Amino acid sequence: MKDSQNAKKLDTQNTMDIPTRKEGWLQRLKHHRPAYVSFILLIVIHAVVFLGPLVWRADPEALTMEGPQAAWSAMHPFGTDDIGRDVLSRLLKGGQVTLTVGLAAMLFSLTVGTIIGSAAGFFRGAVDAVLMRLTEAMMSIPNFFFVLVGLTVLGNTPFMVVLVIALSSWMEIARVIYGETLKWKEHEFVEAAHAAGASNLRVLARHILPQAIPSVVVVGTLTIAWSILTESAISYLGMGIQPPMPTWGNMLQDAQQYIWTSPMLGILPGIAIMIVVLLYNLLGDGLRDLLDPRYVPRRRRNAKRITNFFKKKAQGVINNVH
Amino acid sequence: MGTKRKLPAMLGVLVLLLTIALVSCGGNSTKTETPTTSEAPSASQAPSASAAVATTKSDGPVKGGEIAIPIVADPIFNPWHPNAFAESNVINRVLFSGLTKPGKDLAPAPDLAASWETSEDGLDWTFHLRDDVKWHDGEAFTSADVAYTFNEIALNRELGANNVSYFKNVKSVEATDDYTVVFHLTSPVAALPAYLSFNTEILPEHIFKGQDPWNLVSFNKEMPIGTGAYKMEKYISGQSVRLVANPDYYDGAPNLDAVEYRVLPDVNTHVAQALSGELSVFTLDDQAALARLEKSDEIKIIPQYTPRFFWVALNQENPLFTDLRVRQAMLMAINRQYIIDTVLNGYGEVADAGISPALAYYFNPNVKHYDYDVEGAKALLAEAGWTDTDKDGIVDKDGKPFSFLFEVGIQGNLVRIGQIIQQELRQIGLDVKFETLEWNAMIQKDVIRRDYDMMLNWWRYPADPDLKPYLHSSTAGTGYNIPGYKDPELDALLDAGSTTADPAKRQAVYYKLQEYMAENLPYLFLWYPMETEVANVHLKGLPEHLGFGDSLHYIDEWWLEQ
Repeated sequence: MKDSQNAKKLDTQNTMDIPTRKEGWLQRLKHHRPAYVSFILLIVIHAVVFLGPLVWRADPEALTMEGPQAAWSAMHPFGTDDIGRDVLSRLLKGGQVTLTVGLAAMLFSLTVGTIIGSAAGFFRGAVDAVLMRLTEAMMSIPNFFFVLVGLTVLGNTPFMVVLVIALSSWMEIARVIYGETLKWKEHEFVEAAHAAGASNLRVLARHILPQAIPSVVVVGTLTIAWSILTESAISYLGMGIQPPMPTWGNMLQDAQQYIWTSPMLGILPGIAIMIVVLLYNLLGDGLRDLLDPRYVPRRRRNAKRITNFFKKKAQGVINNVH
Repeated sequence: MGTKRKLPAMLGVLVLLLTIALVSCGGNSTKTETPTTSEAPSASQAPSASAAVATTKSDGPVKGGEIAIPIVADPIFNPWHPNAFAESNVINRVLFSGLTKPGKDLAPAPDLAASWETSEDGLDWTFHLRDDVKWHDGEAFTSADVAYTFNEIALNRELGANNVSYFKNVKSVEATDDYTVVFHLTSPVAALPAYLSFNTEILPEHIFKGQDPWNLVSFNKEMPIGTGAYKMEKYISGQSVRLVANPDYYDGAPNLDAVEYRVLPDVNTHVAQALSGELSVFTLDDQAALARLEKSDEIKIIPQYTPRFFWVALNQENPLFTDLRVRQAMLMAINRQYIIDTVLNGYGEVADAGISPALAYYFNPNVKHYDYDVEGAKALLAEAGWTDTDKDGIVDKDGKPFSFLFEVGIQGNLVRIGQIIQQELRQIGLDVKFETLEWNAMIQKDVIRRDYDMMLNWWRYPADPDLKPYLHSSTAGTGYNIPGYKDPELDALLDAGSTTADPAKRQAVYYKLQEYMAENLPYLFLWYPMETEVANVHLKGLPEHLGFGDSLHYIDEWWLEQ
């Protein structure tokens, strides 16, 4: 009796320091400053890239009057590119393509990863053996070579680029979902659902997968960063999305020849890629920290130290009682 | 956790640091590894003085030294092999010799054949061979080698040898005595000596006899035996081909001790190694990189016209393009000078027809020229019935918009040029969709199946004005007449040109041909590009009016300033 009371007391003490489940996700994100700042900046970048063309109406494919490699001016804030197109409008349009490809590839690989991971974890047995060995086999293929070969075989339309990137990056997600499924399917509420006569699919979709959402968000965010980086890399190699449709990667490729005469043509898309990938990585890592029950935001560390002191005291009391 | 969060940031910083380190290392290595470049500034401060010093130091060619030339892939040491492309050609014309070679005035000059003549009816060509030529293994070169190379390899239709399309009219080659061969033709070919100078070197019968010429690996990929100025020393696949001087070369031992071809697929590496002095001479297609090289005092850039022209082909099977006024309007909408200035860095000249100024004797400068004129182009389109009736920015006729697909193979500058042309054609109201294709896919779809509306490419041809393969109606559909343009008047001129042997009469025919082409636009002629040869300033003896490819025939005359 006394034990459980003590334990309860401990619980309430603990929950005071750890971000509670009741807080909204944005509030919880606020506890992690780098992730929060990254998140805000990403919103700003996406808004600029997707809404910017409504304001800056230059055609990203049309030739301008200024000719090639024009200097920065009010007419063309970032000048013109190697054949005389407005660089700012190309950065915006290229950003749309690059970010869309990143998001689409992430959603696609999320779908594949979820189906494979949850099926393997839920049904176990032969399904598990086949699917998880497949996952491991895929993981042993170097991602980038897989992408290059895939594009050579399938061609490089935007859809194929998304597909190939997704097919090369679902394994991590599958493993996370697999682990979560294994963990949650043993819980009482899942057994209760089964007992109430719910179908396997319903149990999986309504009771197990929602539990995996937090960890999937983390992997998903990191997958976006990886997808953007991969799209840029293959476009840079000339194997990704083809001109005249701009992407940050193929802008980088176009600029390569002019790196000694007009370096800004390469630096601008390069910086754009770097910043976006960095922010997605910071956000992903931050989300991972927040999911970790042992994680404590920096400004609460002192408080934590005090709690730990009491916790140890309490533990001592409990031990003495026994 | 804390360290994990910082990881991306730290990685970013690390990458930056590495870049800086690499850049500075690069700078150091060029300074330390190649003492020649560090001497450059002193030479550059007084270019006239250094030139004077050079002339007093050495009045003429000196022996010794070696040079390096880049190639982009592993070569095949057999000029007739179906897979022998540019990287093989630049080696094969040094290892082997042909009956003729491009003269310094681009007219065919004697090589293995000392002289030649044609019969009255133009159906027999007799070549008198040199009697002092030895193969690299010591065997004597005779007419039997020539007869074997042609009869058993080049003219054997089953083998599908490279460049064999030029010899369609050759029936057989007969060795009448040890040093005379006769080419028997089915119809006259005035350009035969020119064709014989273009990647058609002679192979040794004593090695090939009874062998499968394409699978003789010990020759094609290991130890070729030729008659050229240099012979094989060592070939390391994927790395380099090293040739050494052939002291018994029939035009006298060459000046340079050795020539090394390095397999370097990336153009940027070529540029970097040219700047550091490791590479001696090559052709640079990527004119944007020239800006860097132009600044160096260790490098000379030699622009040269070669027999080439860039073109846009409009599929004549497509009714959109059969109206001459439409073709004229499209040509007028393309600002060719702008593309030459931006993409080619000015190394080129607007083309009105297909015969390049490189062939100065046959080049006709006074033909119809279409200036860049957007309004004029729109007027011509309107005359042809294409106007924008529904105000959607795209011209239409009988309710159908002028809409088609423009396909470009991914190679060199083509994609860049294609995007400009697409935008320019849009300005006159044509709905041009642009698509890039991987090179071999483009060849399959556009060239072999002729499944295209509009494409962009170039022709490079031997140093002879015979454009029959590219324009004659007999080559429409299957040959090199890609637009499939058929015109009896054009055919008559082409036939006359290819069968007339007398140069003055030929000139008159080709002048007329160029006028006709410029007027009727079987292709949209874009420009004659200049080949930009990049050479180390210390490399001398390069023939003045020859491009890099042709000047390799004179590699025995090259020498290094010591």
